[in-house]
Amino acid sequence: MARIAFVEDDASVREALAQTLANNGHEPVAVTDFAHATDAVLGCSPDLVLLDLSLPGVDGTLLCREIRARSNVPIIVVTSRSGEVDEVMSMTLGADDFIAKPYSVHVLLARVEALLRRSGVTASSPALEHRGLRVDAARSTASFQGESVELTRNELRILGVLVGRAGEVVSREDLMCELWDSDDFVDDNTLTVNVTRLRRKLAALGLPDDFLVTRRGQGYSVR
Amino acid sequence: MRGVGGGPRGAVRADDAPGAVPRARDRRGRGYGPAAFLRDRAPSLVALLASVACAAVVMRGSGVSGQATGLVVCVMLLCFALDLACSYLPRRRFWRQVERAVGDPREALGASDVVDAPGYPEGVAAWEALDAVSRAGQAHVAAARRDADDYRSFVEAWVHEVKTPIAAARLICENEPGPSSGRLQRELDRMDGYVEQALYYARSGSVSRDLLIRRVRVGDFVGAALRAHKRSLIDARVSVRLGEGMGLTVFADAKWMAFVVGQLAENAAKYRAPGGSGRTPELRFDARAVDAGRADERVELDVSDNGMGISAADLPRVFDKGFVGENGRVAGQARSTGIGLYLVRELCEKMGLSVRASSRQGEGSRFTISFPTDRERLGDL
Repeated sequence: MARIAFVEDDASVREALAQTLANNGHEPVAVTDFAHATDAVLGCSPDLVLLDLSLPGVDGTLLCREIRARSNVPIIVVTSRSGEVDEVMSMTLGADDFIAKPYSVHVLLARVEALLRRSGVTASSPALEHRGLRVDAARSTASFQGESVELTRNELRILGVLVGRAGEVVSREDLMCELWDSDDFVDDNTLTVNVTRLRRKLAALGLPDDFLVTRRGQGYSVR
Repeated sequence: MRGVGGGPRGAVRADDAPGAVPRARDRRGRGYGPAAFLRDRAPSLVALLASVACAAVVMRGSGVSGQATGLVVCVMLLCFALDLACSYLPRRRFWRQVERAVGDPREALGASDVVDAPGYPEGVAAWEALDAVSRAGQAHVAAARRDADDYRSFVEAWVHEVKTPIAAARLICENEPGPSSGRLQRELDRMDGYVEQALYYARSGSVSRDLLIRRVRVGDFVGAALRAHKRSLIDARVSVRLGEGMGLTVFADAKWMAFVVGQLAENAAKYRAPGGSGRTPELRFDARAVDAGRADERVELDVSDNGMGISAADLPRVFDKGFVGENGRVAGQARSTGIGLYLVRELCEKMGLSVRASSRQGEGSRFTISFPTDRERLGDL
């Protein structure tokens, strides 16, 4: 679990972001005292800082420099100014990464995890478990009753989504979006092939056939 | 002209484009010259000549010798000629200057700055009128420009503002996955697409501070565009094929290119082959180096689809602002705004790139963006 401080002036985003981070096994700390933001951020000794540059009455760029001057904590700048210029500028402020609003949660979390890994904080996203099946993202394996099988990147992502939303029907479109987010622009057929292979691997582990079911016209579901 | 080919929007463009310049040229056709000057003076010239003739007759009648009369007549005519020349030359100088100054419609409002005020009374009056018109025109233009700039910065600021609630809505959707939030996310994506168009439309009109030309990988901005438009492409069941050359690098602004390619991808999804055609919609990206080692060495990126294609009649106008072709009117679900491809061309031009379209109706279309590899040319931007 990583403690993530985030400085964000919009209440709706703050609330939603806190929930997103908490859902994904992090400890969110919202900083709302913009006048003393540097102290507030560093006071909670975070593992990572998400910083919105456009804050009311405070220069976000100055804030970024101040935090960097006093600490080596990883900083991701989040801003609604999406230009290439803004991205380059925020790097000169000492930020480690840059995300433009409106971002997708997957992208945000992927950047957070990557940065935490780089800075040595073990980003232990909680291992997914369902009916005895354990999905280990770090080692890219699935295990069941002592047996374990290696998964490809796509299989891991598909299984991750299905187990994470166990009991629900996940549409094919949602699964494809998930894969596209990691630059794998699979089409319909490739997804079918991936799911078929995944199902074969799960069967080899000894999971029952109805573990991963196809809902015709709707998508897939893990029961 | 109206109603023959395109819709009313296309016709507006055809109407106003050639208008201004030739009309100014017509006016210049009858310039100020000796003939015009003499025509203007005709009554007084006739009176003068009559008075000279009259004087000659009177002199001869009172016994003055023929030689002396001839001399007086010659001197009088010379004086008149001198007077005509003295009044013609400054007038010609003034009007020539005026003609030159207003000849170019773009410069016409600065006319009184480049025309010298003449030394004779009608000239002074004319110059003052010209000056007043110039000043008034300049003031109007300046005010309009200020308004446009204000509006542009308002749109930019507004776009940045509206992205925060979109971001919040998207986070809320993703925190609670499910069928409804999937549908909502689609709507948010559409909203975001329109917002981006507004942003780039505002930027394309001015010399943008946001433009940053750097060396970028083709595959990087193509990937960014595909990620940004994944919902439309996936929903339209478009198969994406990344061909050769995705590792090539070109000089461009990565964000602008992602937007440009995104517009092309969005069109490929929207104008895909109709369901009954038996074709799976496909979108291909291929990049290659062309004319390597020559002066016009460049990298060309093809974005091609196997969709509806564009009719030969529409093809030359697809990049025009507000142009809605046959496809835009039949594609149905989402109405075409005729702004996407216009922005593609505008932004490409701002980056010093060229873009062209080719198509066979019913078989697909291909957009080719060409990136000069010559660094020197970047200096002109």
